[in-house]
Amino acid sequence: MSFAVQLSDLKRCFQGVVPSIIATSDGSGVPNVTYISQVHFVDEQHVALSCQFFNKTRRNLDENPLACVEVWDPVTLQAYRLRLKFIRSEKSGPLFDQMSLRINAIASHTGMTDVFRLIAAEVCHVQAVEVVEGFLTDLPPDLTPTSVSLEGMRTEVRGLQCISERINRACDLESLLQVVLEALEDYFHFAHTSVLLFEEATSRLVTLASRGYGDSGIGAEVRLGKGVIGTVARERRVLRLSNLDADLRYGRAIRREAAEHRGATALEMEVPLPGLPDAQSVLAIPLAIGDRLIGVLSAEDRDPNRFGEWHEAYLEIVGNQIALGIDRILTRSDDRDEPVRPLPAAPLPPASGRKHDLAYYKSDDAILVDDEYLIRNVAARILWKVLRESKRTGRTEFSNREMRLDPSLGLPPVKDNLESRLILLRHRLEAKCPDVQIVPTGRGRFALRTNATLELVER
Amino acid sequence: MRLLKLAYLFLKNLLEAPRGRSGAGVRSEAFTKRILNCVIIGRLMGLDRIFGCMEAGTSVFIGTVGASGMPSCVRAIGVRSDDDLATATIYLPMATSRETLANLATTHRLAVVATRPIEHAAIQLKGSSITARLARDDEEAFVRSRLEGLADVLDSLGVPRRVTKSFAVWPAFAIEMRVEHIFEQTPGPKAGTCLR
Repeated sequence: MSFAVQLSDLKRCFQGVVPSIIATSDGSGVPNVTYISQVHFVDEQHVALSCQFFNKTRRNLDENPLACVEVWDPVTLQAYRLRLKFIRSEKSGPLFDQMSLRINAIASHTGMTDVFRLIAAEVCHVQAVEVVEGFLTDLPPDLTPTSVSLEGMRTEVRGLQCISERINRACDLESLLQVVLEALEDYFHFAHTSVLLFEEATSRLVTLASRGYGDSGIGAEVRLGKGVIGTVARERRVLRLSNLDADLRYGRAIRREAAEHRGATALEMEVPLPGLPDAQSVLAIPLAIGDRLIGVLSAEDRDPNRFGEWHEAYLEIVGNQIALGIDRILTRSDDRDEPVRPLPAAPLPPASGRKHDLAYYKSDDAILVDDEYLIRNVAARILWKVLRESKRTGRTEFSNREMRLDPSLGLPPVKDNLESRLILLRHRLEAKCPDVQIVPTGRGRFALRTNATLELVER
Repeated sequence: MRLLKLAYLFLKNLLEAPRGRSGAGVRSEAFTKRILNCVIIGRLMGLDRIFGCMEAGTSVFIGTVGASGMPSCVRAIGVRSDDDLATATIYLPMATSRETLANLATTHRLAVVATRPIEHAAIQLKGSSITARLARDDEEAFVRSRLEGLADVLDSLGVPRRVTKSFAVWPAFAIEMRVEHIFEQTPGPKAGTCLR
């Protein structure tokens, strides 16, 4: 069966920017009309509807499998009507997983994991696609789907080649992350991006690089499975959210209802979204090698239609390249005394007799500088070891190898992410205590530089 | 606020109780029925919410079903009730009304969902059509004010006003319906609860 309008021409309508509406009727002909959070394009003949709360719709489909869904193009607001016949419910499998990812991410973000979830993907045969004639007084622009032109394709293939080349050339983790985010801005105009690396021991993702945010946010953590980024990491699947604000409002409406229904205390706390406070679209890509999670690459934008379907496919390839690049750097032996291009360190402020109090809190495994939080966990233990050693012996040069051999630091025997912890430490010091610096001096070597008096206290 | 609204409805009912009918009994019975109506709705749902879903700035859709069993839905432009939702009038742009009117002519059943887009608060009215007529000239201002209200709300959500104002709204049909049930429609665990 072919339609005057192809279902694939309406993919913009299925991004969830404008909520869709569904009409069903029960066995005795009583209609019901309600919003649907997701109409998912399956193929030219099928769509799947998300079943979350609309129990009446679910019951109606069992009594009368016919349904009518109205969807809107988010750019022109032209309405289209899909005439559907319900075929089956899917409660597991690839389609279900794909649809539930988005819902899980929003649910987690609004602290609604146990309430706001996909119950089933209702697969429907599309019997007709109609333009709702007369809906708009002005004719909408041509409905050419957003596509990649030949010229665009060349640019993007070239972009992929350049990103790949830059990744391969990167000699350390910090420069790798830096060139990747620069390249994403150069070739895709993604202005707000970040990379988070996974720490298996704590089941958290830690922000190690960002671009386009006033505050770099380096060191910000996300628990696995929490929020959009945590969900992408746990599920190892790409997630593209359009009109994030509407999704969050929808999630919060449910949260408010659930709170009234069963008491607010039973709900989780809402996880604040790292990044743009007014982001309208998010594209998060898991960085993984096989099943092994390396991290997440996240891009945000204020435009609700910023990320298209092709970005998703394309950035998956870029994500694989990044994951391999990170893994290559993190797993290589850095104990050889090879010369390496030292990263330029910020000049130390002139000595002026400044004094800083650094306190290590054993119970929290954290360091505070002048009563302000600096860092915690393994990175805190590394800094503490270096500071004490320097104070005791006057040494300022250290090697990664001696860090690895010190059992008190608690580095895992394999995949210790030492380099990423040092990057984190360096950036946190830059932000909170620029008088103290950790500077790479060669492959597997770094130095402590300071021109202030440091008081060390252990509590 | 809720108490004030309830007090207002009591007074409104008192003043608007049937006139021109003879007998204090009829007047008293109608009065009591209307007051009970208010109290029941108010208790179950909260007056703010139920009437808030009918104010300017709400998004309204009508669902109907044809004789073949194929449902249909279409955007309406406003809903109002002068008798505390015993009946309601829904304004439907003529340009998109053909199927809905045809369905109502054969099955008479309709569902109307009114949503406040910012909070996603929604109610659903279900019932049967009484009449479908061309909206009168004196109703045009109401219809246009509803489009303005929706344009304001959608503008605050990022949909440019000029886009919303390109919706065809006039001329319109006015569909009068008998409201048999009111359902909670706000997404969440209470969605689908019958409120009246």
